[in-house]
Amino acid sequence: MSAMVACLYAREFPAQALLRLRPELRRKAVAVMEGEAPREFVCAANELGYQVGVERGMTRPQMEVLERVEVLRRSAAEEDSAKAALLECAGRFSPRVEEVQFECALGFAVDLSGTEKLLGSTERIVGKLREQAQAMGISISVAASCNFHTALCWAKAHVGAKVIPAGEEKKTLAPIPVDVLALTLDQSVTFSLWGIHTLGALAALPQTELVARLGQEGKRLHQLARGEHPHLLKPVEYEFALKEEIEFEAGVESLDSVMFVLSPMLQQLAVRAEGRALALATVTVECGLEGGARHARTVRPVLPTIDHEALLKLIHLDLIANPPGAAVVAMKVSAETNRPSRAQLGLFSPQFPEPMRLEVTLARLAAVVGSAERVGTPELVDSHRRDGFRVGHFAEPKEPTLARKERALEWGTRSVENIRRVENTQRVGIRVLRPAEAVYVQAHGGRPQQFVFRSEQYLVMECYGPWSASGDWWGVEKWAREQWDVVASSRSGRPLCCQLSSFAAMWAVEAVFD
Amino acid sequence: MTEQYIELHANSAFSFLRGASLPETLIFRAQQLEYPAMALLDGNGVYGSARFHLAAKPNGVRAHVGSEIAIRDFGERMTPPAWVPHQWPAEPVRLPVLCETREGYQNLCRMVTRLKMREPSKAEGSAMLADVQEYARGLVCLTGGDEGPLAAALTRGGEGEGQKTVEQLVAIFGKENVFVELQRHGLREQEWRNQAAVRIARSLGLQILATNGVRYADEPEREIADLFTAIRHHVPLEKAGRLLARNACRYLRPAKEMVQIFSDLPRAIANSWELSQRLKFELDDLGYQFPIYPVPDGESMDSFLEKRVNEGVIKRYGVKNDADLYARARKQVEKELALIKKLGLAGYFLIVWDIIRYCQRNDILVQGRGSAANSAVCYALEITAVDPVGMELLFERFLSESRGEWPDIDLDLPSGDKREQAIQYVYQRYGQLGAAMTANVITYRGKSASREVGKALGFDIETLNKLTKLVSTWEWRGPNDTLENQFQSAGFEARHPHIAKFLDLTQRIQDMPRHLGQHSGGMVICQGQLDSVVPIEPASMPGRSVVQWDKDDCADMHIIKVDLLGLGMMAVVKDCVDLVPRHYGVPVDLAQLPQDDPEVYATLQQADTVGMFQVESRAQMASLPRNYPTRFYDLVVQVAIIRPGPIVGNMSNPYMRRRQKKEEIKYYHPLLEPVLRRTLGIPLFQEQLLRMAMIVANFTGAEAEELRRALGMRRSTQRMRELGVKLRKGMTDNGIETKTQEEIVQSISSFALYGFPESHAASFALIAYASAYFKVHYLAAFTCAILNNQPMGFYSPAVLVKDAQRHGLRVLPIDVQRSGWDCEVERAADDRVLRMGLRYVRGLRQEAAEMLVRERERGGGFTSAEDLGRRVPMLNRKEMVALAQIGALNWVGETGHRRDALWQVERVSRRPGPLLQSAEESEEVSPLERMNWEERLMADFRGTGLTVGKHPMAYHRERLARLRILSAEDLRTVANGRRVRIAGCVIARQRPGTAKGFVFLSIEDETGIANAIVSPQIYERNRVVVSTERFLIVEGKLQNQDNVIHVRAERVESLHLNAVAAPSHDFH
Repeated sequence: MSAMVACLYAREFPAQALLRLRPELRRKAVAVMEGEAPREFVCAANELGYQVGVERGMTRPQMEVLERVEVLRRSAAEEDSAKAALLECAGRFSPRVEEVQFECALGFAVDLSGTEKLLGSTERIVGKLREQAQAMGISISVAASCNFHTALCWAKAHVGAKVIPAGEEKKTLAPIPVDVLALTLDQSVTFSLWGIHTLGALAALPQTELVARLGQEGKRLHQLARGEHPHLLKPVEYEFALKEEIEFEAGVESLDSVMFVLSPMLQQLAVRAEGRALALATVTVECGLEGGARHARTVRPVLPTIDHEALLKLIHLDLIANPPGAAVVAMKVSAETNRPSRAQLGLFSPQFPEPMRLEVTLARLAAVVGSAERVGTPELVDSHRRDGFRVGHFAEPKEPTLARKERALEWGTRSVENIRRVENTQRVGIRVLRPAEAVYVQAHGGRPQQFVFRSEQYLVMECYGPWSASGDWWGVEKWAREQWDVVASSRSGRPLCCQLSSFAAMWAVEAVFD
Repeated sequence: MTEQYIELHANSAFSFLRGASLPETLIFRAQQLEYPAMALLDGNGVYGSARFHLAAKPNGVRAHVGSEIAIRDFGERMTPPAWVPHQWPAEPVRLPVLCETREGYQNLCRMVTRLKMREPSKAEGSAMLADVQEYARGLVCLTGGDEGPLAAALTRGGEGEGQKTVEQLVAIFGKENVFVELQRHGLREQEWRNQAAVRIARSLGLQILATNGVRYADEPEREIADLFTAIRHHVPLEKAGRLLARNACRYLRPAKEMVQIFSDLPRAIANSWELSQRLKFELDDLGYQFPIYPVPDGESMDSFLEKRVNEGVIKRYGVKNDADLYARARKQVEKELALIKKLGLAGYFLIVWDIIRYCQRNDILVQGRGSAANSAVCYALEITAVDPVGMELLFERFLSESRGEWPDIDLDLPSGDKREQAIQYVYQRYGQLGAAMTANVITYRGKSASREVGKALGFDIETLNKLTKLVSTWEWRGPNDTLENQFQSAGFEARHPHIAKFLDLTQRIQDMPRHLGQHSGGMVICQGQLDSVVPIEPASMPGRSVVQWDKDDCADMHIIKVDLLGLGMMAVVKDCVDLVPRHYGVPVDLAQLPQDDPEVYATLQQADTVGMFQVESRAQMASLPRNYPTRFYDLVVQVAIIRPGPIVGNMSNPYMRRRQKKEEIKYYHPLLEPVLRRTLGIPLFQEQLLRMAMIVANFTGAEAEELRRALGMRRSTQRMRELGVKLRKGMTDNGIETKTQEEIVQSISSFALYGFPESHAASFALIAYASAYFKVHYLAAFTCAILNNQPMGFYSPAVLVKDAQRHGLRVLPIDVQRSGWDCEVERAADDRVLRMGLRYVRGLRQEAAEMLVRERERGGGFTSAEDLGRRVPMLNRKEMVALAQIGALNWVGETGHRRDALWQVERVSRRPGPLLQSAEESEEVSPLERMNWEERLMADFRGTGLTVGKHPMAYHRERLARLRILSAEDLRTVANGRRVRIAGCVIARQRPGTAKGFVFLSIEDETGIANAIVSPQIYERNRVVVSTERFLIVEGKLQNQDNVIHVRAERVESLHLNAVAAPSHDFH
């Protein structure tokens, strides 16, 4: 007896995968959308959904017209879980299982050769396969045949289970629509023009003439339609993924306890990565919290590493700075790998701090000041706003270059001669006061005349301005200010050069010149 | 010390996406600030200058002309230093220049033209130093603000470099013509540059000049300037950073403020006044001359024109055998010639005559339209086809002595190649720099404005698309169709600050110029060189160039324009003139078509007008049986009456009632009876408006024409008010009651904007009559011509074919053994039939089809698909399949049916290798089954967009009859008010602006076209079905008024037949 293959076919798989864990929605019309807005479209739905008018390819605005349809987003993660469950289910019947790829459906082919003695007749196996999948919340069609494609075509075209006896493939396939063959658009148009709508009609065409018209593809399709196309089963292989998951029976509030559990998980990941000569480039810790929220943090060491203790420290410090905010009920750790780094230090080059130690130190600082955004190197941003800078990741300072020296100069004074000239003269230092210090100013015609700054009264001797700036008028962060460069003298004769700013009748010293 | 500051450096919104105020707004503000003068310097051109000048004149402001010229050789404009994060792209510096004399202006125009024409594509472009050197005379140069050469040089290399640059400018323009410009926008860096500039000016002995580098009229408009910057650089405002202005100082400042700001440099202010005094040139002094027409020796243009006109009068009026008419024509022509001579316009008429002669020589059908048809001279020169003397048309509408405006002649040409040929003739005759198209200013409208603002404010694509789609595309907008409500319905809160800003900005940029397009047909021509009158730039279309002003600007600046417009129906009429003699053996002279053909009028009276020019729309069909045209003038009225003007002005219905003798004919005033008698007391034409004003308010012809223009244009509210006062005063003087005065004013103002000139309606009516005549008498030729000139008109080819078939024309399918590229008339027995052309095969390239036809003519018919494939190797598989599926190969060799052909072409198109080349097919007949009627129908529509077989509805008639659905023909026999059900293919949907939200559906079945009216309420309930479904069932009460039949829809549902999808024509 020739080998028997059972094909499992789960139609509308994106919808089934979502509904598996949402039994409350199974009695409602549900549609699943995929794609990025605005090109979202319906990729699957349940039967009730189709009954109320959902169609594949419908866009979001079209869906909005339909009432009482639950719209869900396609979830690759949940499909993975559902697929794993179905794979496991198939694996119970045979170790040789092949996955068949479809856009919005899932198929597995199970090699049933030699399983009859162990598991009973093919009819029985096929029935059990369907039952067990159903128990997992996935509805499938199953067909068994000596020809893989025949089984698959039947399962795609029908709901239920069937064993196709050897020799009856062609007859069984005959009434099935030709579209079941996953035709190209071109082939589909051609068959439609020819009036070929079923596999039976296709099978009835003379093969040689078909090959003369459609080439070798014609031959393949013809064999498929007759249930004669051969197939070599390719069993699925285990995929390497660094993931560890754990669920707590009760919520854990202490961070130390969390770290205690996390340590061996990280160690496991590091060992597995090391076994493949890889190192951990990023580690993501995702905490499931009480109340359903999730708290995910990702740490990226400067260099990929397998030093799990250092990684644990980084994660610990990160979680101190960004605590989960509720008791942790589940935790998932996943990691991405990369080649481990190797650095050759020069004999005479300056010694930098060891990268991982520097990272830990920075993370410690971030934990102290409350946020990683507060530790690092200031960088200018493209904005006219005062204090238009952000804090970037710490980078070791470089030797000042000519271009950097330009910073000391105003726009418009740049030239090599100017730079050299300024280098040879005394530079003016400016101290920006953050926040600016409010002062009381007496003004005349909008120009400051005298003011009190740090308990001392100053008389304005010279005043340049106003230098005005405003921006971000389109949002709530609208700002505007006027600045004056002031040379002032106190009653005791103490000079003061500063920048005074005014906004909405409020005055402040924004900077003082040394 | 003086406060007499003049702003001499301003950009308007015509410095596209740089300036934020319209020229008119700048002038309005300048007038408020009591500026005696102001200069507009738009980027690389004088785009806004005409509007600036026209707005300035009545407001007592002198408008100086200038431009900011991008110059490559002065390096890149100043940008922030590299160490500061910014996104400024490299752009050339912009040199501001002002026109001191007419020569300066001409040089500026030439310089801009040269820099624009140098660009291979439509781009901003930049000049070279050599251009500036060549065209510097008569121009005064400023050193510029942040974008100028001095700022760039100072930033690049300090004061030394700055000095060199200014010296270079002095060398080009001369010491007196270079002003060192100072701007103060409250920026530290700018002040450093100012100090350096003052030192440079002092060292070179140059004058300093204060300007504010104005970008907008008022401070708040800075937001628009920033928005435009974001749009120009394709970044959202949030991420635009230093691209945006640092503050809002570039507004038109009051002189006092400028004096205060420059109190330390009073000379800079005083010089603005002095320089303004020096700038003598204004656009009044444009120096435009219309080209002189070359005449034989011993002739003047006037005498030459007179001779041509006299010849024309004999030719046109001689054949009419009407002595009285001839005498009147002579008198009118003499009067017109005298005026033409006085105004020096003979050259213009001769040039248009020359274009007409060119068209006649080259077999291009041409006909003048618009107000030119009021002129007997134009009629005699064969520019127009309407006899203005016979029709008593008012010449003043076309030309009057005191109007101070050039006449406007519009020529209709067949759309497509023939029109392009005529346009190219004008270019060739007057040179690339002597003629150009007028511009069309593309402005921000609802959709484009909301899209750009949304992008700038960083809305995500989904939201943007939602909003853009929400902006209703139907013509009619309900009272709730505001942007705010669209927001509400899309689930946004209009009061949210971000959303409120979006709405605010969207509204503020409405009608702001976005870029310059090309007017569809307006051409300006100039004596000498047009490029010294207004800059010319290349249009996006190859071989075309365009001036920087639109048609209104050109008219206002007294530049004569000729409109060469494309009209699809002209091409159809031309084709008919060729086809009729060829296939019917009857000579056709368009000018001599019998004007009183009873069959034509009977057809018009029954509204059986599918395909006829101007009278085929649903609204026209609904009014034709009521107006019941019986003579040519009725057709003139018919063309004019279905227009927004008469409909909005509530004139259409009273006219129809009077026409049906259901209402008494009354006149506003007995004095108006002679004017309004022809239109039964209802004013329908612009000429009547003119005559009314002349009679009741003693206006001169020119004043009356001015009144019409004032009512119809946006720029002259002040003048309109003055004329309104004068009109009422005149009527009061003539003892007309206030109530009657109101009625007259209302009737005048309501259609001034939209109404037709009578002459224009008459020109269109001529074409309409010709189309009706050809359709009624030579249906095969007419249908053939109209199918060969698609797309055009109101109906799709599928509807035109079905209509022709209902009128008894046999339409034969596409056949590779007989069809040409175009549809053709064939003889069958005693009758003419129409053969569909290969042009209707979707996906078939014209060159492949032409090769097929050539090969067939050379080697005879094709014996098999194999033979076809071998002899026409250009045909690819898809094209062969396209031909086979529509049955075009059914007559090739042994082919039995379409699927036979499909089976064969698949083999032919996959040619085997040389080894199997000679291998014979084992089976002669394909194993495929014949297509059923449904499949054939689908293949026809998919492959050609129409079917020459039965109408899809015909196959379902029995089933429909069981559902008590009536055919369009049945409706004629149903009593008014009875409930009926109709069904069919929707061929047109309309929601016109004048119909208060009602939707009009034209529904076709195998017997004809039925009309349904959907009320706003029913439409709201069935929005998707009404606006998208191809086949509909409509149920409602039948309304039959004067043989105009409608079904007032109470229920609308979709009719599921099959996948046939003939496209409907939806009018937005």
